[in-house]
Amino acid sequence: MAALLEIKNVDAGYGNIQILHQVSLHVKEKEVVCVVGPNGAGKSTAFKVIMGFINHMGGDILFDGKNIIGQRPDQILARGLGYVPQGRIVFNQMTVRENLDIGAYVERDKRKRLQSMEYVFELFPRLAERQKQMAGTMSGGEQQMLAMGRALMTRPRMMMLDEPSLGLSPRFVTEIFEKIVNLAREGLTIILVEQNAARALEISHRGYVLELGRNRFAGSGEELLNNEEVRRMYLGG
Amino acid sequence: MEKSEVRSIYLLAGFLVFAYALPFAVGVWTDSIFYDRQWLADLATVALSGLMQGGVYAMFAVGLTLIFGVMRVINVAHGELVVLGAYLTWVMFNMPEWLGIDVYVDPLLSMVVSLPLAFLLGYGIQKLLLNAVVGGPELTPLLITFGIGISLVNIVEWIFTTDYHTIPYEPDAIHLTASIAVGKNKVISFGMAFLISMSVYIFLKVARLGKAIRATAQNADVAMVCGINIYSIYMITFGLGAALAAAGGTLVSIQFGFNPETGLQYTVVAFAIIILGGRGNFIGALIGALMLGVIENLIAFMVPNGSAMVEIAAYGLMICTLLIRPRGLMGAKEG
Ligand SMILES: Nc1ncnc2c1ncn2[C@@H]1O[C@H](COP(=O)(O)OP(=O)(O)O)[C@@H](O)[C@H]1O
Ligand SMILES: [Mg+2]
Repeated sequence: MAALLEIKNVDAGYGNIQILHQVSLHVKEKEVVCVVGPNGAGKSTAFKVIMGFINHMGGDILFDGKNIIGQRPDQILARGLGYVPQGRIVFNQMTVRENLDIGAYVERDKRKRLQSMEYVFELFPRLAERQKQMAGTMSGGEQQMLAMGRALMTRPRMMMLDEPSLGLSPRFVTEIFEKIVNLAREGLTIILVEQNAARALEISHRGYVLELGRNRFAGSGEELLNNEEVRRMYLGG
Repeated sequence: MEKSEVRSIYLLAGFLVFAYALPFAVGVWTDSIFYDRQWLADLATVALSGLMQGGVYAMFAVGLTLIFGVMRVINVAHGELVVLGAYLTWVMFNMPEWLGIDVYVDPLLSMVVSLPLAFLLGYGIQKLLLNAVVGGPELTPLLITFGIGISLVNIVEWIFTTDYHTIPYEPDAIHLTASIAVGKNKVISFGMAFLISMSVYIFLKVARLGKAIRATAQNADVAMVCGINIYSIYMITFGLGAALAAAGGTLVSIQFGFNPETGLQYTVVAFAIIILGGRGNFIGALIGALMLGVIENLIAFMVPNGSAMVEIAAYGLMICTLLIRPRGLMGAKEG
């Protein structure tokens, strides 16, 4: 089966500073793929170059078989690739409902937006309870759910999650991982970056290890979990 | 709120009280205050027309704060857009006479044409000159708008010369009591300014496009992954800002004289207001505008030869706010 997302030998960076060197990875339809690696390895940078936020310096980026280099993030989103940036960023001065509604800005049909909202509320009942609350006043875990819900509003084929559990309380970490598993079961293709490597690899089909902006290891979730070196470096022994 | 935050807002409030008391102190010192009925009525009249003038100021401050809030662009050409609006109104007001047609064009009606024109101009400026540099170093767009401002002054001067113009409009006064009165043109301007700013406010709050503008102001990167084309939002925002400036220009034209160089004064006024109110904050701009309008009129009233001192009010408020509390009354914390 052809990959839904594929990046091949990608170089990228900020201004003239190159961060990614010949990075390659791919995600097949309905797969859950995890990217791990130390802080500063270039994991977020990889997501940003895929979404068209930063300088692409070389290599191929294909989504659904089509080249998406040079497109704006909103155009890439419209192709069905959702993205939840690192740091659970929500529109603080808007209500939960407004945040979700704006998440589907590309969708002109109001009925469809309402349907998507129902779907998100089903997935995150907590958001339904807080529809009218200002997003800035919610807890970190709730904001992360809102950020994920917002990205789901366009009903994307694939979602990129950057450190979804970062800085959350253990209870919320468990909940977020449960939601990711649920979404995967429904058939959503997912690529995620996680500090919580062991846990993320457990729910992933495959994983990549990035280091200093380069591919270091690749393999099935299980392989990486059992790999001596990976265990020592990222899984705490 | 942090302690230093609370302290800075108290300091700013204290400074404002001081600023308002100052003209009174000067008045006492120079014996220009009389405690009789007539003087109190005059004071009420002055405060009222200050408020009315503040309404007009709000018109262009709101545009400036919108442009800053969404794009972090400091539009130094804002006052020139105000003056351009005034000239457009003047042209349309006089057009029938030049053409020898006997109809009366209400200056306010000219906005039907001048606002869309200003919108298109702003939209074009953003598209052709600013979109490429937004998000980079903040100095670049500032210098570009500076260039635009100077070009506008010269173009307007080339077409209309440096003569002062005014548009005679509703010269009667409205009497609230026997001795408190305010010009009808001022009241109409204020009403118009109120109506337009409220419409824009409601548009930003409830319309889908308005929400997209607010989302872009809050976080452009996330707005993009919500599917918002921020460059198109930028063009619409600059267009809207320019249209608001032009609306301010129409209101200026029916109560004050203007020539191509008046623009700078309004740029400064608009700046002082949004710095006082909090850069990027809509309500802050409205409050700041009313405050500046009142204090300018108090100074002109109580300080001997005060009209020469009026401009100091804007500069003073601006500099002191920057020193005491750079984010102003209601601005978001930077960084
Ligand atoms: N906006 C930026 N401008 C310049 N350099 C950046 C920027 N963001 C990240 N970097 C640099 O890029 C490298 C990779 O960062 P990042 O992709 O965020 O790492 P990770 O997500 O793997 O922790 C780091 O060295 C970081 O300092
Ligand atoms: Mg990161």
